[in-house]
Amino acid sequence: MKVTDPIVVARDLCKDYVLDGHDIHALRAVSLSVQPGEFVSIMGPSGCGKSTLLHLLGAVDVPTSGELRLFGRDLIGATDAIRTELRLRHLGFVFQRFFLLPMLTAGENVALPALEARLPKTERDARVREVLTTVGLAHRLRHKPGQLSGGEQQRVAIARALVNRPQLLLADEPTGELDEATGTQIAQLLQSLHTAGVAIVLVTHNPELAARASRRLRMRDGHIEAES
Amino acid sequence: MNRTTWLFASLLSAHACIASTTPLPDVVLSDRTAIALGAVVGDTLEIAADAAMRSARRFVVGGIARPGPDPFEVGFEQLHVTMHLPDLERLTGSTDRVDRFAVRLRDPTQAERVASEINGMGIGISAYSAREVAARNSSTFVVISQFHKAIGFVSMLAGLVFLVAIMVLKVESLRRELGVLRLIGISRRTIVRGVVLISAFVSLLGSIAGVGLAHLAVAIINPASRARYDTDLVFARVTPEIVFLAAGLSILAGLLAGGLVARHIVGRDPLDCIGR
Amino acid sequence: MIGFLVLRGLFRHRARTLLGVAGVGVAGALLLDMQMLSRGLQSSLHRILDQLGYEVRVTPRGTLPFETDATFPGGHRIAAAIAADARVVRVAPIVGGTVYAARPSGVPVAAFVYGMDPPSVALWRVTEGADLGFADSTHTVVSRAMADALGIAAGDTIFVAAEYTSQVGMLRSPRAYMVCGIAHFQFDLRAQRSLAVGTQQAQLLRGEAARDGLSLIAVALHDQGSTKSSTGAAMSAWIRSTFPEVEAYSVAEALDTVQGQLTYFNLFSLVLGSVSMVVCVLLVGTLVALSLGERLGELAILRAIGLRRRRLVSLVFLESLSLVVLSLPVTFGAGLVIARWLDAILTRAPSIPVDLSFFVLTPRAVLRTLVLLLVCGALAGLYPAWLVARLRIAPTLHREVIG
Repeated sequence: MKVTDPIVVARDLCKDYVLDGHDIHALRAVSLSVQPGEFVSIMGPSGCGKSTLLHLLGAVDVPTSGELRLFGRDLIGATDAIRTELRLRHLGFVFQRFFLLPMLTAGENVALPALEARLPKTERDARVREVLTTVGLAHRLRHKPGQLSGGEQQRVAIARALVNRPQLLLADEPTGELDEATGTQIAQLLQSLHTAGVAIVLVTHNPELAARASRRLRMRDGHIEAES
Repeated sequence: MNRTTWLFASLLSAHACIASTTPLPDVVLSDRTAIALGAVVGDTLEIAADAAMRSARRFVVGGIARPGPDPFEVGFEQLHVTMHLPDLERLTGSTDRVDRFAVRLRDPTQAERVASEINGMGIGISAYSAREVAARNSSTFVVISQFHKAIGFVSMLAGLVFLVAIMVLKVESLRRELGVLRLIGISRRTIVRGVVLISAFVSLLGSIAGVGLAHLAVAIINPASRARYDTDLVFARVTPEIVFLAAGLSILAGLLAGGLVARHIVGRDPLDCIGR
Repeated sequence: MIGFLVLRGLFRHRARTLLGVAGVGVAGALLLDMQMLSRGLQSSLHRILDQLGYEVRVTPRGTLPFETDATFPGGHRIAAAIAADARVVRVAPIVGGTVYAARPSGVPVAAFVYGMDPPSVALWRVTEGADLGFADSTHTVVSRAMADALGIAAGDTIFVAAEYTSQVGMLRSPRAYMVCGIAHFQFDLRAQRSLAVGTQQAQLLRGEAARDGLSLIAVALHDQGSTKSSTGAAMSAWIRSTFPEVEAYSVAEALDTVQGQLTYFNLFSLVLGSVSMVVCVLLVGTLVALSLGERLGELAILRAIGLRRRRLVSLVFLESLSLVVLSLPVTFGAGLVIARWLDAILTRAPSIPVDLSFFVLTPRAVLRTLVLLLVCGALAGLYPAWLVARLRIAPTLHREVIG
């Protein structure tokens, strides 16, 4: 894979599922590519398929049909082990709910993906400090999530997503549970990450946050309606 | 009057049986003895008081009986031969000796007094009223019964901890809903009642399942044990008393567990309960 | 990492973990007790038989030692023939049976007489006064129950006979013995009255002198280390084939025979042990499965950030095992306390020798309890582990966000 090749290539992605006996067509022939370092935002009404698309791009779900390549690797028919490895080494996830483990400190939460990637302890500790410094929380290393504000928890979640130095960060409504001021801080943080060269795909309802992206997509009824 | 002693027996051949000209005294064999000797009614046996079969005497098998179930004999495989007392005396060479004899009184209510008088005569025998004999003979069963109660207590303790643990988890899983109920103005008392009711219901369901399991266990244990040990004993039994006791205790434990957990939950901030 | 997560997870809800540990601890304690009970009497008997130092016991055919009053004739001839075998160190001819004893002009009481000549390892241990001498014909050692029943002490004289004339309460042909000591008789039942005299005296008392009747010959073999048990079995087989009128048991064979008579306790321990295991599996399984239900979002996010499926399966599996491992101190602590309590209840039974215990903590009982509890933990972890293995990340995260 060349450095300039797109890191995500999706063609005619469809995702159907059955909910309470009804067939749901969550995605209808969505095509999309993401270049290295690109910042893409996706907006759209609730239930339009934004999160489903993000889950497919993040290799946590499988499409019903279509083609999907991540970092040059074909994800259709890929084993769970391959998909897990991709998520561990190349992707970072940030969710609306921070999903930090409450019994671990901020540092330990951040260290989890590095532990799984079997980074040596000295390097792991250095990375944890580095990413917590990036998100402005180096002084909160030993605090547990319950001792942090919502904004701080989200920043810890972002640090966790960054600890294995992913090329692509997937963020699903990262400011959805935060007040406006804190949301702005998170938006600035994402912007700085983009500036540092991390590709970002952001799903949001927040037009101001979406406006920070270099490319903006709008979805409706399971397909991309517009791009700007 | 009765006497018990240790005898040795062997089955004679049919020829020996036919050769006998005088009528032989009869004995009754327990079913296990008959199987061990390969004897049937009408067969002739030689029975002696020692293993060398010295002074053995001949008897005819007059009957085969299955002894009443005796918990002490489970697994012992003891072989019994019952014979007339004079025959046993001739066989052992000792006369006018018995292990015990029973006395029927004109007035049974005087049993304790008569026994006491006999014991006071100092003739070297011990007399017991029927009640005392029953008490002495049942002492082992009393011990076993105490053992069962102790085991039952420990089992109930384990069950109570189990129930409390389940109820804690169950109510914890309803934490959000209970938080919302508190927020919309439902009183703590109503919530405690509701949780206790749920807990009692879970306990009741558990009791019903437990009774079903107990019946299943009895249906397996009794036939298997009877076949294994060749006995008519009832090894396990589910009685209405046991069912009521178990269900009652279970529901009581459920109420206790539910009450404890509910008090803990309503003591928390409703916003904390709903995760805000 | 998994161990770290498991530990932190267990301390996350301390009260819940404590409840789980307590529940598993009590169920485990019951399991330990049933393991102790299942071979307790046998182990206890083994210990006593081993202490006596005789590997083989010879009894009247078809009986266990002192099971009945039966004797076999020509006892010393058989004992001498056995003693001539090169494998044998020594033999102890023993007579036992019921006799009557009384103080001078006192009321007779029934008692069990042991006839055995020192310096053989005795079936009793003198606690007050002195022991019998070899071929002692004038002294007796009595049990505490016997001394209390007759109101006698060392130095007193008692009369002993096999029979008495009931009409006048007189012993028939009594023999007089001076009590030289009070002893603890290892095989006595609770409140059993016993006395010990020399072998020949016991034969005279029981009317067995003419036929040289013995109740038991205890046979000690040369110490052959690990082959002791097989030598005992070979010796007992040889005795059985050479002397058809007797039965012979090595220690292992005697224990096997006794084991058949402990059916009630074996059945009891099997049933209750199984119930304890089921309770253990259900408790651990339920606790882990229910707590898993609360953490599905966390687990899904762990998968989303790259933790491997097998890692999470091990996490849940280890949580189950950890609950069991954490409960081990409770299991063994409570198990030993409960065992002592239950043993105190059962040994009140009148037909149990005073030195026997029902609940004996043996390495086998400990090992079996450990293995069975770990098996319970593993079985309990199967269902939650299966739930985690089939966890779908996207729908779970979706549900968590909606919820």
